[in-house]
Amino acid sequence: MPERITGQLERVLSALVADVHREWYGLELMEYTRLSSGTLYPILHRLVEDGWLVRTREARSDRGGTGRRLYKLTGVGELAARDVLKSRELRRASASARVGRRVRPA
Amino acid sequence: MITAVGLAEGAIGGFFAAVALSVVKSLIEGEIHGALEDWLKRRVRAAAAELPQELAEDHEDEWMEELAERLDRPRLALRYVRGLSKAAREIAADTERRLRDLAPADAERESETEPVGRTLAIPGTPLLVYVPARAASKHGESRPLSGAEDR
Repeated sequence: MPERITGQLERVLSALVADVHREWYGLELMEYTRLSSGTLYPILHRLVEDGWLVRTREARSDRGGTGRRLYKLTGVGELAARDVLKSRELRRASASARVGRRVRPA
Repeated sequence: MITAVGLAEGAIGGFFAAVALSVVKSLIEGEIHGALEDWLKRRVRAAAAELPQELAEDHEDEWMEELAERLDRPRLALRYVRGLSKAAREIAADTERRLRDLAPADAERESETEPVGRTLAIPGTPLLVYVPARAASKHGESRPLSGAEDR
């Protein structure tokens, strides 16, 4: 479980949960989440280390390289990510309800 | 007075000058692009070198592969490479922290897998009894056999 659930992590998890069978590579995720390489790769690294993501190598590279590294949610990761996103959603909802109550005239 | 011959010479000269200029321009552009590409690759290697050894090679391959897709857009390539150094430092710090967190747990597990028993003397007899650590802890290690002392 990641130590802190940040907005950036939430963006990555939302992207991954949107299609749990999809294998993403770093650049794709950067473009989708609008995160920089300096932010995205440490998040991916932590998720892999925590067993939420599996990292594989693309079968063949037509660019002459060793092949892209692909990231995909694991079963555990999918459940955990959904759980995190749901709790963040609930927290946001309760926060906005509190704000609503506060600004409502007596 | 401008003659037709003069005009033709001027046009031909201008044409060759334009061709020469475009050749020089493309040579310079190619040179700059090549130099930029080399510099970006060096930055990727330098960033990967900040990672722990077991991760460095794989991440360098990953980042080189993705950089190759951005080389035709130099601004994006620059932005991509700029973040890698920060990413490498964070990954290295995270790896170090995980190893540090793991170390005490490993030591504990090791001591569990290598139980050290206790040899106890039975009072009033010359007999010694070996009590395995697991049995000792089951019966409460803090409470030794009555009157028994370690010899």
